[in-house]
Formats: sequence, C-alpha cells, structure tokens
Amino acid sequence: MNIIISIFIKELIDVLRDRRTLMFMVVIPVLITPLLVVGSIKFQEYQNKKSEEKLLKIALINETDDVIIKGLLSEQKGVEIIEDINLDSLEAGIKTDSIQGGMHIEKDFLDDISSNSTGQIDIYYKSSDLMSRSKKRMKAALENYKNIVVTERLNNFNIDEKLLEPLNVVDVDMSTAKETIGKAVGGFIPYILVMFIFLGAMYPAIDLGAGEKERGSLETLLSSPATKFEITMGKLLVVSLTGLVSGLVSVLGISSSLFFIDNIPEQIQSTIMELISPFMILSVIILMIPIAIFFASMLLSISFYARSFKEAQSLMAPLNMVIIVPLFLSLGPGMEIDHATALMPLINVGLLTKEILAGSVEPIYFIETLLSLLFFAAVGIRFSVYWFDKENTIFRV
Amino acid sequence: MIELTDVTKVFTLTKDQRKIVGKSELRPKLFTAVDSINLKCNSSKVFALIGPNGSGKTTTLRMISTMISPTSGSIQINGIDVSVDGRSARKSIGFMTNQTALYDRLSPYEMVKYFADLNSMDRTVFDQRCKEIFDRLDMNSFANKRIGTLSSGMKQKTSIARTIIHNPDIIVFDEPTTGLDVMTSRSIIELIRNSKEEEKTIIFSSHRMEEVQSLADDIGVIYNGELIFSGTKNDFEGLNPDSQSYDDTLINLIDKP
Repeated sequence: MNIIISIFIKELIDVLRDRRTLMFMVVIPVLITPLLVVGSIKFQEYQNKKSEEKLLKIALINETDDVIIKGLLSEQKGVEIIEDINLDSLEAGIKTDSIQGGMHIEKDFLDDISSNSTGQIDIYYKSSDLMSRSKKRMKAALENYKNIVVTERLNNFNIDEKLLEPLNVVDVDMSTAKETIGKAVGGFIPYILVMFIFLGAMYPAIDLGAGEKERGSLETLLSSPATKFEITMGKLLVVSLTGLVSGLVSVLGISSSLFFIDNIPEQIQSTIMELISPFMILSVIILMIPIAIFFASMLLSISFYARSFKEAQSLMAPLNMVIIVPLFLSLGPGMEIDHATALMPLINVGLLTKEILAGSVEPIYFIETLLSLLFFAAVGIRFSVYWFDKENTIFRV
Repeated sequence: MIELTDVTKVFTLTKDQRKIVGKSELRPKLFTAVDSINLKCNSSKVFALIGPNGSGKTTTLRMISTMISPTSGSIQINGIDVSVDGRSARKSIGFMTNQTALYDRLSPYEMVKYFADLNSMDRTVFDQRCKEIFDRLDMNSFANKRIGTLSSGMKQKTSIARTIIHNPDIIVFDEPTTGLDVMTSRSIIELIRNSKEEEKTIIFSSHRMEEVQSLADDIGVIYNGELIFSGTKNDFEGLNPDSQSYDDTLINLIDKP
C-alpha cells in the first residue's frame, strides 16, 4: 500500500506541474465551459433577433382582384411586398436569395372562395434557410385571411362560430418549474460532465503510460521493487482523480456561467439555485467516481499499449464517439430510467441525472445505476492490471 | 551474485513481426530471443555481455532485472529465485541504460526520494545516503531545481544517484554509454569502477570494445540468442592471441561456422 501511495504522490506532483494537464483539467473547464454556454445563448439570441428584424422580400403574384391578402401580408412585421413579377423570376429569385418568399394566387381563387369551395394559394420558400421566417410570415397572413373567410361563411349561414369550437381545452401543467428545468438541463449536464472527465483524464493517462515509454523511465520503474499491480494502481488513482477534478470544475464553470446570462427570469433563477442542492451535488459526485475510474482504466490501458505519445493520442480519439453515442441516446424522446436502462453505462448516467435534477429520482434506480457503474469500473481496473502485466503490451515493438 | 541456469525466452510474434520474416508458410509464430543460457556473475566482478544488435543482450538483462519472465530456466539474484520472489530480488538491483530516464518536472532530490520510497527505505537511512551521494557527485547546487532545466551532465548524475540510492548489491547496465558524449560516459564508467570497489556485482552490455577491455573481469558473448562464449577476460583474449583488438576477436567468434 505504501508503494501505491508513493507512486500516487509522485505522479500527482508530476501531473500538477504539467501546464498542459492543468490546461485540460482546470483552465478549459473553468473558462471554456462558461464561454461556450454564455456564448451559445448570446449567439442564439442575436440570431433570433436578427432574423426577426430582417426585412423579407415576399413576391406576390396575384391573378385576382383580391386586396385583402396583400393587406394582411403587408401588416406582417418585416415584409416588403414585390409585385409585377412572374413565376419564373420568383423561383429564380428565391434560389438566388434575392427574394425570400413568394405567394401565387391563381385567377380562380376568388370564385372558389365565393362559391364556398377551397381556394388554392401556392407559397414559395426555402426550407433549407433555417433562419428565414418567410414561410411563418406568409402563413400568419393567410391564417388571418382564413379566419375572415370562415367567419363570413358562417355568418352567411347564420351559424354561431362556437359551433366549430365544441371544446375549450385549458392546459394545466402540474410539473413544477424544478421538474421542467431539471429534465431539460439534466440531459445537458451529464454530457458536459462526462466529456470533461474524459478530457481531464486523457492527457495524464498518455503521460503516465506512453510518456514513460518515450522517456525510457518505464524500465527503471519496472526494475524497482514496485509490482506491476502497484504501478498500475498508483497511476490509475491519479488519472481518475484528474478526470474527477476536471468534471467537477466543469460543473463549477457551468454554474458560474449563470452569472453572465442576463434576463433570466427570477423564478427560473431561483429554481436553478434550488436544483444545485447538496443532495444533487453529492449524488452526481458519487456517480462520477466510478465513471472517472472506468475512463482512467481504459485510457491508461491504451496508453500502456501505445509506443509513443502520438500513437496514444490517435488510439484514444475514436473513444470520443463511444462516449458521445450513449449520452446522445439518453437525450432521445421516450428514453426513461428503468430497470434495463439503469444497467446501461453512460445511458444510465444521462437518464438518472435528469431525474436527480428534477428531484424525482427513485432510490432503486440510483442503486442499480451505481452498481452498474461500479461493476464497469471494477472490470476496467482488472483489465488495466492484466494489460500492464502483459510483456507484449509494455515492451511492444 | 547473479546466476542464470538454462534460461530461455520465447516471444510470440505479432502479425506485423511475422510479415517481416517471409512467406506465409515459413512465418513462425514464436521467436526464441534467448536460448538455454547459463552464466554466473560474481560479486566484486564486472561481467560484460557483448554481441551484435538483436542477439539477445537486452532481453537477458531485462530478465535479470525481472522486467520480463523467462519462458524456462531459473534466475537467481543473491540466492533469490526471481520467479518466486521478484520484489525481494529487485530490492538488490539497480538498473541503468543510456537514457537518463528521469521525470523533467521533478527535482533531482524528488526523483531520488521517489526511488528510495519504492525501495521502502527508512527515512533516516535515506537522508544519510542521499547526502553522501549528493556530496560525492557534487549535486547539491542543483538538487532542488527541475530536472528539465538541467544540463545533460547534471541529468546523468541524477540518474546515477537514482540507480544507487538504495545501495543495491547488483547493478545492471544496458548499453549505458551508447550515444553519450565523452564526459557523460566517463561518469558512468567511474560508477562501474566505484561499484566494483564496493564489492557489488556488475553486469553490463556494450558495443564499445574499449570499455569492455578496460572494465570487464568476465565476458559473455551472445549471438542469435545463444551464449557462444563465457569466460574471463584472459580467456577471451586467448581466443585470438595474435590480435589486440576485441572487435576482431568478437567478429572471429561470431563468424565461426
């Protein structure tokens, strides 16, 4: 045990003196996470505002005498109506983005409307232009027109408009703000957490495995009285710790980003503060420990196998996908924690964190998830020890 | 004392390694790196293990240092069978190569302390031994500086201090001076001489025949995994009495049909 502690202390000092490790472990989670969160929110706000304020050129080809639709369209905010244009020019204009939308009212339209039939209007837009609101604005104008026509038709038949509205559905959302926000943010938090545990553990793992080979210090270490088990455990503890610290620091980074986002409604702010409870923090840390150990064991095993720093980096890169996919799955609709999903590593973390944040976690699922993660952590440790014991791994040529 | 009895090391070749060998039907899955070696290194003696690249020198030294296990045979370090009690055997061993094998972000003191801790050295014994070594190697002026900032000579001294801090009875040198400049090589040669005076058992591999000539008491020649010669320095010189050159003697020996 003393030798494991000696290796742990030495590796920890070594790692903490390494600028690149500190960068991945502390600086990036502390600075980059808030920047990412705040930056993406601000950017989204800016884009929304910009697209709302953007003046859209909507071509109107009206083969009838109707003036109501034109009036309703011009009432829409940010619409400039272009007339005296044919269909070919309209299509060409939309393709080249000189026009953002178009409306074609055929000559029979008014006859169809007046004969209580269905009139056809073609609207043109580009669905690939995600920020364009031309479709929304044209549809809003046409919806208003439809309401006018329906009211007129019902009046002609002396029918009360309420005849078409037999139901008055009133939404009563029983979710608390905590549940709503918890489930929404709960999918995002584990994603950040797990990625930073991985990133925080990656660099030290490379340094402590492949780095030893490159320096030639592995041979001197192996010729010391330390057993391969002790060497693996000492290194594993340090790599797990750096991953864990990186994950925790990223949570701090996310929390601190809240101070930089203005115009958060007070109720949401207080709900967020309620979410960050000691129970939530403790529960998440308990879940993070086996994840950090599992990642550390996998990364260290790859690092032991690699001949060089570069090879270790290239071997570890695909692991990102292995982590992202299950977390992504946990964000999918209909995915909920149950006895089966609680046993699936990473998916269970994503789903359980949502429940923890929403305050609706059931203890049995927490225990199942924890046992599942501990099992994988134990398998990871066992594999690392076995892997480091193999001569073909450490003296691979 | 080091004693190897019928020691063999067989490696399983990887696919890539087998491709190098030749046509698929001729590709062996196994490679015998060391084949039934018997040798004995006594205390107060310097044993030089020589032979061309790839002959099995490093594999033999790694087995002696217990980094890898022999496939068959037995290795005794001061009477301890390494396959039975590797940890006790390693406590008697200091291992050194031409690479300083240091951690740049530690200081020489921390580096040496780390290896003392791995050898479970008592704090008082360590303090005394550390002072003695640092004084002898004139390391006090840079003992607390980061290794990454030191000159190659200072690094070499640190590497020497790390190797001998636990006062090992046996010191294994794997091509210790290959690629090193004259000054740095000299410090290692001095270490080998001093260790001999301290009645330690020394085994080293080298391609530098002038080093072998000046340092070795006993010589072993290994070729294609087999120990084709083992004897005293005089026995080795007697193989080719007409030549003063160790290189010629070695070449004649391995060229023999």
